[in-house]
Amino acid sequence: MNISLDPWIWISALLTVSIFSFLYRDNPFYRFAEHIFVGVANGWAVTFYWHNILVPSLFDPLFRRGQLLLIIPFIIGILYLTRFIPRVSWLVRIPIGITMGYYVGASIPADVQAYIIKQTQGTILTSQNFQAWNAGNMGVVWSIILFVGVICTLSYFYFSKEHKGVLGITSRIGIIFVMIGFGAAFGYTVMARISLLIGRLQFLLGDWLGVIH
Amino acid sequence: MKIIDILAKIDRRIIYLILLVVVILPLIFPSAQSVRVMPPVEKFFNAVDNIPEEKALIIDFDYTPQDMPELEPMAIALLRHAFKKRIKVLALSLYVQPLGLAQRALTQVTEEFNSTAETSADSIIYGRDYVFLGWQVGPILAMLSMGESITNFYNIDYYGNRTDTLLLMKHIKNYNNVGIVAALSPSDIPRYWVAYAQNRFGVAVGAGVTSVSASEFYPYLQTGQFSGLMIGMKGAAEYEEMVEKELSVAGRRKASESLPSITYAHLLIIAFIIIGNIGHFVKRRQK
Amino acid sequence: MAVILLIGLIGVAPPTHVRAYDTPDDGGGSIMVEWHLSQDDAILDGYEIYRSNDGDVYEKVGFIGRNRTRYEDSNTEDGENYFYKVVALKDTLKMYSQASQPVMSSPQWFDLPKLNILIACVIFGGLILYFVYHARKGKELYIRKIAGLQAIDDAVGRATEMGKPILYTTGTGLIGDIATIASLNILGEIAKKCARYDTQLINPHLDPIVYTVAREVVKESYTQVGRPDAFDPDSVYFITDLQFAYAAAVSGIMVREKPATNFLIGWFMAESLILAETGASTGAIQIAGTDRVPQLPFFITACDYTLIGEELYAASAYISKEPLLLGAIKGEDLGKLIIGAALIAGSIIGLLTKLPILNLFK
Repeated sequence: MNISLDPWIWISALLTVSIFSFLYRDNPFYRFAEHIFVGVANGWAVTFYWHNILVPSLFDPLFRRGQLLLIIPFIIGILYLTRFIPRVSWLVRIPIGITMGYYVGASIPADVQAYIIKQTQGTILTSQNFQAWNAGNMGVVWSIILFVGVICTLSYFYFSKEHKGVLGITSRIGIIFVMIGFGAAFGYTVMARISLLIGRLQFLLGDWLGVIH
Repeated sequence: MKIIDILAKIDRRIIYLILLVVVILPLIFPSAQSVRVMPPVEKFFNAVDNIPEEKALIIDFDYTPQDMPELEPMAIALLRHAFKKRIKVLALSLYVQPLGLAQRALTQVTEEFNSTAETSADSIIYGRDYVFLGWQVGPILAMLSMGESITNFYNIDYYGNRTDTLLLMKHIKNYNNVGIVAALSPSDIPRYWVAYAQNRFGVAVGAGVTSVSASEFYPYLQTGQFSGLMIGMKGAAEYEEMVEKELSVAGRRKASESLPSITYAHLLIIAFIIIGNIGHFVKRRQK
Repeated sequence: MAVILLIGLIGVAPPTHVRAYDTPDDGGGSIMVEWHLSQDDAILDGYEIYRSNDGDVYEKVGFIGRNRTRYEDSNTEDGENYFYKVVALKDTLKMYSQASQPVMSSPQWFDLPKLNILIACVIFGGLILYFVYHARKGKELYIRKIAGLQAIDDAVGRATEMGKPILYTTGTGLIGDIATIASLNILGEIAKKCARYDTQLINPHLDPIVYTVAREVVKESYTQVGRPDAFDPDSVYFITDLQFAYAAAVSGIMVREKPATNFLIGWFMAESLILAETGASTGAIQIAGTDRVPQLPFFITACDYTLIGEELYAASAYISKEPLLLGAIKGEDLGKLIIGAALIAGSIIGLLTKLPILNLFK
């Protein structure tokens, strides 16, 4: 056993243990750690954004180097603050609209290609797709399962008709696929959470207490 | 039936405690567990391994302290691979939080190599072998802008150097000079790389993701949009295995060390699920 | 040794048939150079690419490994003539090819191989616009009932009876996420119910922009039901933009304030489990909804009702009766039919013929 003498490791370890204490029940140590977390996160974010965005990307070029065009984004950004002045608070919609417009414009063609067209291509039953699984003859089986799963799941999320008759059958098969998917996701999450626990334990037992090397 | 009643009333804190013991014991008393490399990781390794000499590997460090146990071993393994094979590395983060962790990983692996280097040619030198571009506003903006010019968008690196003065950047203009983007992220970022960088500029993308989001990313592997996929600690351990076996690069393998704990914890949870379900059905019958 | 000596004496064969052309379907500033491999390719270090403006003075613009026949020079001025030579390189030996024909780069208006994306955008966008237009004209658009929605009234009523607050989180998404937008619509309706019954609403946020919009939405809802005075500006607030700090803070609120009902609707990541578990342990009724597939299992196991994936969007349309949303859902439904039909037709063609059907979906 080789306990660390580094004060930062101690602070980090004690905060970790405080957060873990929530597993027992809510308590002052947890709350203390929670408030420190929120406070430090906000304080750090404000200073980071000031030094890494506002100063180098806006204030310096605009006020020191005279890049006057930057006055436009500066004004648009400032409009976010109009929310605090009730009479002109409606102006906040301008920067929100611009931000949303930019993201929607950039994402629609990209999303259609990446998430719809390419995925449709990968689902169609062709010999090329059968081989893409690298699973020999089983490629056909996997492709058919994928194909049925996609069609039936799509039918579950069809909202324009009651789920009766053929649509009722396909949507019920669809929800089975959905639930199997959730089961897989759940299993993976167990692995993720255990991994996080291991990560912290490696820190507590290794870096802090020196029990493991 | 009494056992069922006791099990049904078991305090969740006891379950936490049992789990804790099962995870801790293999860490204190380590045992080797063989790692079987699966095709998604093998594909990733090969995609990085086959990066032509004149092209670079972009490593997007997007993990934060909460995802570090799963994703940091991937970053370390990737860097060992790249530095061993002298593949040029461009490191960046699309968010601000991961910057410190990215620097930590770069420093660790650089020191690993430089501690045994005897000449300048053997050493890993900043600006020649790798560049840390740091962070700029907006993930999507970064992905799109790098398609035109990397040095124009990241005009200064993480340390404040002008990127166009760095030796490595003289030959790296945009995605045409990039072999693959390795996105290590707990969020949707690998999909964004596909949607914005791959669709538009044709660059290959590999993803290292947390196990939580694994099921979301498999479809992109099946369609070939991802050139490889590493999932959680298991994926990281597989990449560590390949780097050690194929390239003879030694070093601490944090993910591989954790596998026994994961295995026993999984067995315990499977047992809990089975017991819980038996209890549920027995109780339902009683009613 | 003998081989090296021989190479030193006779040199290596240069690449042949060098061809340069404007890179097609791009935004300009790029020229593609292609060549036939040198006969000595197997022993080369690689190829150097040289460029000239006048055909006399050449400068090196790039290097590429052996067994490669193509290089993209992406550093050209549009409208300027360039000549290219490709050099076979072996140690210090260089063998120059013939110069290419002059070529200039230029931008294209359309990226033709991506025409399929344009067509898809026009079809899906057109369908949505068509249905929005009809919804606005007052045409009744049918959407099936969604189970989780019917629980909302009971959940708000329960909080009112118990005199406890309602917690509503839109998750950790940004304003561009569709789940966040859908959640904001549902928040508007729940805020109206809170205003009517005088139930306290707690609405903490992670993203400053989502927070700004949510505040407007809640305020608007209170105004719409004639209770602007009842709107508490402190009920909608920003906590932090860090995911787990946010999760820790919202968990704390759940445990301390003990809301009667928790709405976890929007875009979630790993915090979904923390929030749903903590909420369940306080005994609150929980209604969740997200389009994030990995998070849905936790909501399904720990919450009373869950809106799965697109059900969230449909619920948002159903609850708000907004023509824009209703039209969008109907348009999406038809879009799904088209995708289903494309899959079936594509598979039939793919299995029965040798037509390169997959190329349509590149």
